[in-house]
Formats: sequence, structure tokens, C-alpha cells
Amino acid sequence: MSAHQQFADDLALLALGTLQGDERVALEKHMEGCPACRRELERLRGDTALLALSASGPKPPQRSRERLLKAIAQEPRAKKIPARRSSSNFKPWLAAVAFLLLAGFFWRQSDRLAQRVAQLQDESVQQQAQLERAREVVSTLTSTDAMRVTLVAAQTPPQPQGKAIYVRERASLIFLASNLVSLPPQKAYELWLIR
Amino acid sequence: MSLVWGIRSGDEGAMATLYDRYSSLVYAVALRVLGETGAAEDVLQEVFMQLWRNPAAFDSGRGNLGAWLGVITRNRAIDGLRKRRPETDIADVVVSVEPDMADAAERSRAMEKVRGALVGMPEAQRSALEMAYFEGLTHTEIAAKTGEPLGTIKTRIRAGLQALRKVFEA
Ligand SMILES: [Zn+2]
Repeated sequence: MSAHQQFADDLALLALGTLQGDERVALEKHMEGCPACRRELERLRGDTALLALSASGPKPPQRSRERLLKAIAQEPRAKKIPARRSSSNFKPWLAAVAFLLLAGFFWRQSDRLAQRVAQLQDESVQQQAQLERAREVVSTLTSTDAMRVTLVAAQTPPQPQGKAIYVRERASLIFLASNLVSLPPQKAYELWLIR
Repeated sequence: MSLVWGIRSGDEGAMATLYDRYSSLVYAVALRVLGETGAAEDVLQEVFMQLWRNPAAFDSGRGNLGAWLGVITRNRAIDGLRKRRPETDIADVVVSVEPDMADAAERSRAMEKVRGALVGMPEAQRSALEMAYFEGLTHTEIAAKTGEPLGTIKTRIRAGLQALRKVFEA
């Protein structure tokens, strides 16, 4: 019997949060060195989430929504921003024709990126060319000395604007913004991807 | 998949969107565990405040928010039920699950499937699973309650969870 099989039942209990004592200690120790069990624990937690779905009932009362919104209004977010979300403080940049451009890429796993680059290098000349073009686009977007111009009708005052281009499969995101209002010190812009 | 940004006034708007999308799920889970509306409302409030205070706790690269909220809510409610201090930090909870629960229609389809799977289970298996999940009983407590061997209870619980998973693998 392999170690995983020995721990299989206990993993389910751990996912449910009901495993205690020595059994829990032993399993947690085993998991430190066992990615397979850690993955299985995540999946079992997912299974418990399915169980959550079997709960049904009335909607929460309207007062709950008001209570929450009131509470968050009274408790502004701290200025510390989690690194895994795209966020930045924007400042208006130069005058009306100057636009702030921000491009960010999320690469979900840097080793996947490295692998991908290696793969591309091995592939055909055509793909090399495509990659070059892609790189040019990116470097143009991200270049600090690039000139950015937005064309608008005359007499139009500068409008705050943000544009996000997101490709789920590649986990890559480009965010372009211009003329965003500068925020008080405690506030920051955030971009949320919600699944 | 949707893209929401909270702009200008922090992200109260984004929170309201999340609330509108997931509050029914969160409340239903809390109410099922606690059986009392006042306590369920408190858990609802707590769960969303946790998300507000620490949005980074949810790792969007590794699971969907609906599933994660379901798990967090159940854990909070059980802690309340069993009068214990919160055991796990919410940031430690990683959930991977197949169905995308962001969409209300998707969620109700998933719900039907789960209920179907529960109905299709042997009674003893379903009840062991529900006692562990919605009452937070340990396998020892369930064994004492049902008079069955510990090993049997453990195996039933695991098999029950896996049976739910299978419904979505087909
Ligand atoms: Zn293992």
C-alpha cells in the first residue's frame, strides 16, 4: 500500500476541517513532501465547495447588503496593495496631449514563460518573425520614451479613460489608461479580474 | 469571466457587484449550518468583510471565487457553531473546482447536479457526508452517533466527496 492510499481517507477529513490530533499531524508531515497529496487536498476542497452548492434557501434580507456597504465605506482599504493584482497610482502626466500609458503583463508562471521562449526559439523561422513582431508591439507599448497621442474632437476636455485587454488562455493582460484623476494618498486604483 | 474595476472611490462598487453575485450562495450555506437567520447574516457580513480587508487571500489563479467563498463560509459557520476560534487563515484556503460558479445559470445547473448526486447516494453515505460538512462533526463523533466503525465512516466521507466530483467529470 502506497503512502497516498494510506492517507486517502484522512485527506478528505482534512479538507472538511475535521481531522484532529496525531492523524492530522502525520498527514500534514507527509504532505510537506508530497505534491500529489497537496493537489488532492485542493481537489477535495473543491468537492466540498460543491457540497456548499446543495444548500439553498431564501435570499439574504436587503438590510444585509446595506450593512455591508456601510461597513466597507467606513473602513477604506489600506493603501497596501497586493502584488498579484494589477494596481498603480496614476498621476496626470504633462499637459492635455500627454497620456499616461501603462502596460502590464501577467505571466502566471515564469517557468512556463521560460519554457515557452525556449520552445519558440526551436520553432520555425515564421514563428520567430511573429514573435519578433509581438515583441515590437510590447516594447512600443512599454517604452518610456514612446509618444502617445489620443485623437479627440476639438473642444473636448480630456476624459479619464482605461482600457483592459485580457486573454484568459495566456493569462496576459494589458491595461492602458489616460487622464485618470489623481487619487488621495490612501486610495489606489485596482483592476479586478473576477471569475 | 468578467472584468470589473473599482475606480475613483476605491472599489466599493466592485464589492457591491461581488455581493450581488455571491450573497445568496454565502447566506444559504451559513443558514444551512447555523439554522438561524441572525447568525447567518453575521457570517455573511464577516465573509465579505474578510474579502474586503484582504482580497489577496483569494488567489484567482487557482480557483473560482464562488467555490472559494462557499468553502470559507462553511468553515466560518462551523467555527461559530462549534464555538471555536477560526482555525485556518482564509489565505491558506486554496480551492480547485470544475464548474464555473460566477454565472447564476451555471451555478443553478451545478446545484441541480449536486443535489442529484446526493439523492443518488446510499443514505448512510449522504448522511455521513452531511454531518461532517454541515454539522462539522468529526468521524469519531459520527461513529459514536451511528454506532459504526471509524474506518467505515472515513471511507464513506471520502467516497461521498469523490462521487460529487464524478458528476462534473462526465
Ligand atoms: Zn501523498
